[in-house]
Amino acid sequence: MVTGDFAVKKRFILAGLARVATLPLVLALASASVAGASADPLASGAPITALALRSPMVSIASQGARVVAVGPRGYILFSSNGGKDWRQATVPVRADLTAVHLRDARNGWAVGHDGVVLRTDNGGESWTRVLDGRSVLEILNRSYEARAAAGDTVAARVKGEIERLMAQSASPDVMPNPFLDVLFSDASEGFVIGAFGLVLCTRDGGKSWEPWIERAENDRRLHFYAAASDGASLYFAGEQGLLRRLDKGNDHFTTIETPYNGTFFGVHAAPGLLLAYGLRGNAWASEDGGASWRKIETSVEASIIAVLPAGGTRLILVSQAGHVFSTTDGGRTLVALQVPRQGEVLAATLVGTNDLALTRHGGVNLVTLPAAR
Amino acid sequence: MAGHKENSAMPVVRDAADFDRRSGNILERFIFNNRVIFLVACLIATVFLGFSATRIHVNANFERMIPLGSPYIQNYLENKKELPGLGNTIRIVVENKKGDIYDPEYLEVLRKVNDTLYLIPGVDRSWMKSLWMPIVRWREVTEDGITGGAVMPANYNGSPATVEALRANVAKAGIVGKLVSKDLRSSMIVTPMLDVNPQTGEPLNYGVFADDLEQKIRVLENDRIGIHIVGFAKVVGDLIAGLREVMMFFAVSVAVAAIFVYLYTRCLRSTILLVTVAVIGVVWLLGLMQLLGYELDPYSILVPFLIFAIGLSHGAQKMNGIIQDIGRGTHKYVAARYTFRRLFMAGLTALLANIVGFAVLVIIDIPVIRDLAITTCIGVSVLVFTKLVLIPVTLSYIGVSESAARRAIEEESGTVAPRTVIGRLWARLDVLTERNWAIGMISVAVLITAVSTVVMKDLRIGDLDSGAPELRPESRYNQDNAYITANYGLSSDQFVVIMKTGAEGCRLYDSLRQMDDLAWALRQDPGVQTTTSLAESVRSVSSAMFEGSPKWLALSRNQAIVDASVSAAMIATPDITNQGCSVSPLVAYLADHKADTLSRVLKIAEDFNLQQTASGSTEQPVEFLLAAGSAGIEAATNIEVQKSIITMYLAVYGATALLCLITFKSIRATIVALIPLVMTTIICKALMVWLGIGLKVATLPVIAVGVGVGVDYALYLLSVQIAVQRRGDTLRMAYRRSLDFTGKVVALVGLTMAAGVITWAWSPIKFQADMGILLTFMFLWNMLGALVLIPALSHFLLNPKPRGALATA
Repeated sequence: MVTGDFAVKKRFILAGLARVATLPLVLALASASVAGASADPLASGAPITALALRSPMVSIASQGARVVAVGPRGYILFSSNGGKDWRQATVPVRADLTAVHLRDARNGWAVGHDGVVLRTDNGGESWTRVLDGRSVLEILNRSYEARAAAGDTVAARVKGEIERLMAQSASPDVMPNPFLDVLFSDASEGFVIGAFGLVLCTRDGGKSWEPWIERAENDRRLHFYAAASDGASLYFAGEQGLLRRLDKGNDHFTTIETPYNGTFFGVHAAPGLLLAYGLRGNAWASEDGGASWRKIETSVEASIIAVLPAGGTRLILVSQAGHVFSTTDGGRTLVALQVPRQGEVLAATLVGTNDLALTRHGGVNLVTLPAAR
Repeated sequence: MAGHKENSAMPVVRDAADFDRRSGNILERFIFNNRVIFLVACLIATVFLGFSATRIHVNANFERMIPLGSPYIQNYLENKKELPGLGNTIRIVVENKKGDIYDPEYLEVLRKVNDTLYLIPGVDRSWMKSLWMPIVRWREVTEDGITGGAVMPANYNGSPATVEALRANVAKAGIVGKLVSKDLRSSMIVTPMLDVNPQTGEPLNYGVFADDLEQKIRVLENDRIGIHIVGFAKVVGDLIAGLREVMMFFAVSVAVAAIFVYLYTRCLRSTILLVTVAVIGVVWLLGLMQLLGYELDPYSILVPFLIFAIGLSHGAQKMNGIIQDIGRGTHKYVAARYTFRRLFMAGLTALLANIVGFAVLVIIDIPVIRDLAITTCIGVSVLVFTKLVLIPVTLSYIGVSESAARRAIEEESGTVAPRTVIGRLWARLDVLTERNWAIGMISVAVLITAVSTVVMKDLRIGDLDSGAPELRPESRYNQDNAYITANYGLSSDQFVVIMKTGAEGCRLYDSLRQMDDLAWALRQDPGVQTTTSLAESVRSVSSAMFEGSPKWLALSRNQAIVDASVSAAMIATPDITNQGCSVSPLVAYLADHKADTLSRVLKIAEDFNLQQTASGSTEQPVEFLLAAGSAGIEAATNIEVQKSIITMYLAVYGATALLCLITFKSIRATIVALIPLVMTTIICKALMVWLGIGLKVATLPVIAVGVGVGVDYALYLLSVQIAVQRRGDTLRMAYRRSLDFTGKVVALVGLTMAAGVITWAWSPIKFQADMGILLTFMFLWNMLGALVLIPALSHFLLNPKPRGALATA
């Protein structure tokens, strides 16, 4: 990489991952080193530290004045006054977390690396472990082994994939991949989705989980980055322009073709407007359930990381570089809002309709949006 | 030590021919009956050693300033080869004082600096980074993968369009805050250094390299362009330049000391002789140092100053007797032999005592201090020849001026009345042996010592100023360092923990997770600004591999993902781990290098290690070794200094007490001699607190040297006083006699020793200045303490009521 421009197919990188991992040396040492499990992120809770307030939180969600942000090493912050003051939550794991979802001001879910799924029923003050890499592995094995033994060829294929995945895990009993988002469409039905096509579904409020890997129309096991619901249907978005819809009552996803082949980091679903967004300022809107698409001209190079409903038809778009746009017509016209640019934005949420909580590498900061025209 | 015995066996002999040449001991006869041969031999030795002296190397080797025996330092040295990127880089910041970096004129100067630096031997060109180096690239994630290119557009020609292209590339490359300052007014050229000069194959000469930087790059500075240079090689270069400056100070020390000697002897002829012989002593010393393989470093350069001062002041006491003898009419040849006869044994004892004082420094396990001890001992041994032999022999030829000789006799007979305030005070000094005066003096001394004892409690370990502690805070280097710290965010105080694993072990999730845990543990401390390590790089590289998604700012348990991230991190930052992926540095950037901060950070890392060990995972292939980096080494050094200080006190005071006991054969006299020294030591520590000087490698030897030299004063004063008392005189008379006989020598020794070291206070090297100030204080205050406290203490301890023999209990 010293001279000349280059281009690397990203799939090539991921293919390379698998090859490196099969080096016998690395694997032998990897399993030998599991002895030091006392410091394992799944074995102990996140220490309470002032450092959490200065850490890069990668997902943030709000319900009224209640705001919750999750980040590295099991750090979860919560605020009960709209993001002005923050406290650190009690969390039973130290795994790096990736996403938080609040059902209401009290009930919420968080997911992360090492297959971690957490829930709170007190507005984020304390969290309990619902799933982790060990229990996820048991669920996957139980489900697919039984069906493969019964002659289900699809299940047998997934079982083989799990075996190969576990050969890459630094801990032979822990499913190593992350969940990247969590969504509950009501109190009982919820999905946790993640890397390499991982999907688990619960229909009893998280008591029992069923793997849905083969039901998501994702044979190439692309990453699922985000889930959204418009009340009637559920949507998953992910790598290479992936977009899937699950209609209420069905138990199999259908593919929505998109005109974009880059990664969607998020999807916004509202009645009459589907908006998928991601890499390099890409944001695409559809008003007919995904049959036809219109490009939203953001003219930014950075990824779009959040599209936030701000009351009525108003939407706020936030880029990773800190651009903030407002639109009231489904993205046909964008108004750039003057928000101080202080470096990379990792996640964003609206508190009420006017305060924008942004997470950065040094912590969370709150900006008041300039009045809409 | 004064052996001024009034010897009736040395009659006045006016003609050398009347003198019995076979008198005196065998050594005296051997030397004085072969004077010519002896002088020729000295001349040959001076020429030979002088030639060696001119070839002595001037160097500043950091490894010699650190305690090599410390387990922390051994960890560093064992892994040093595997960590080339640690510290030894040069950073040059080119600043546009009148605008930002997107200015074609600025970019042209930057190119010139870049190209000049590229050609200076010692620069590791393959890893040199700047806006003009194609290795500095921008990257962009697109739908098809990753595209990128050199930050400097290939078609750059200074046109507004290509400058705009550069601006866009800089933004995409994310180098603001790294290679480009946060205010966009300057940019940085960073290059690792090679250990050897590729043209000659010899170890890189940092002095030459730093000169090149000044002469080829700093000259490009003007009212538009500012140039700031920092880096290990530059510090070493500046130290070497400082050494050359300090050499010039030697001339000043010689001149000042010569004036004191002249005021003492009032004889130009003998003053020139004494100064010349003292300089010859230094020439012999430097020649011997070169022959024995020693270099002049920032510490050992101080030895010639000390040896000169000791040689001169002790040589001057030779004059006392010879001037008086000649004044009484004795022939100069005979007077010289009398002096030799009178003082050889006494002088030898005094010099041996000095050697003991310096030799105890050998117990401190820091090479520069050991070298200091050994070279000073060599120097003092040289003085045995120059001072005890060469001076009398030369005096036997040239004698002293008659006026000086006459004057000496007049003074001795008390015909010259004291005219000055000091003279009158001097004449009244013996009242201190009286009860009321003694109580008053001791009360004052106790009060000062008590206050100092309280102040002393605040004495800090280590260096207290920011930047490179070796150099002064206002030095160009530290100004450059402050500019770069302010504009580029990373402090120069790096505390490094070394993660050691088996081959390729740094790739393992488990190693990285522990490294990550330690990094976050360190970051809890307010003194830690930030940390960088392979573990943290893996987090950001993983995110970058997954199209910049913040959700992948993580250490994945998926070994395949971690593996790929480690490989990518090694390409992006080659010094993040070694080639074999077994030695990886965790760098904590500290807010300062105060001893408290260092020991806190050290403790966090040690506690982490203890926990790892306690968790029973002994088969764990991961070790976290302390410590490297400037702050890590300083932390280890602080520990050794703290340990050494007690040992050193015991050794120095033990040796001094033993010496006093042997000389005086009296415990009480020993106590009288030592109390002023102990008080001075305490006041010196209080002075360090007031002056903001920390206890460190450089200030450690000060107390030993101060006490070693300081005890001389007591030896002079007390030996005469006790001898007179033993003859049956009162304490007051004995002290008066002692003052008349040796008091001026004591004052002269104090002043010449102080003159020898005070010039260091102007050294550009901070720790030399600290040493100069403190040693000057120690030499003068010990002198003062001896003059006023010995009589007062003697009143209580050496004042037997019944006339007769001195109590020896």
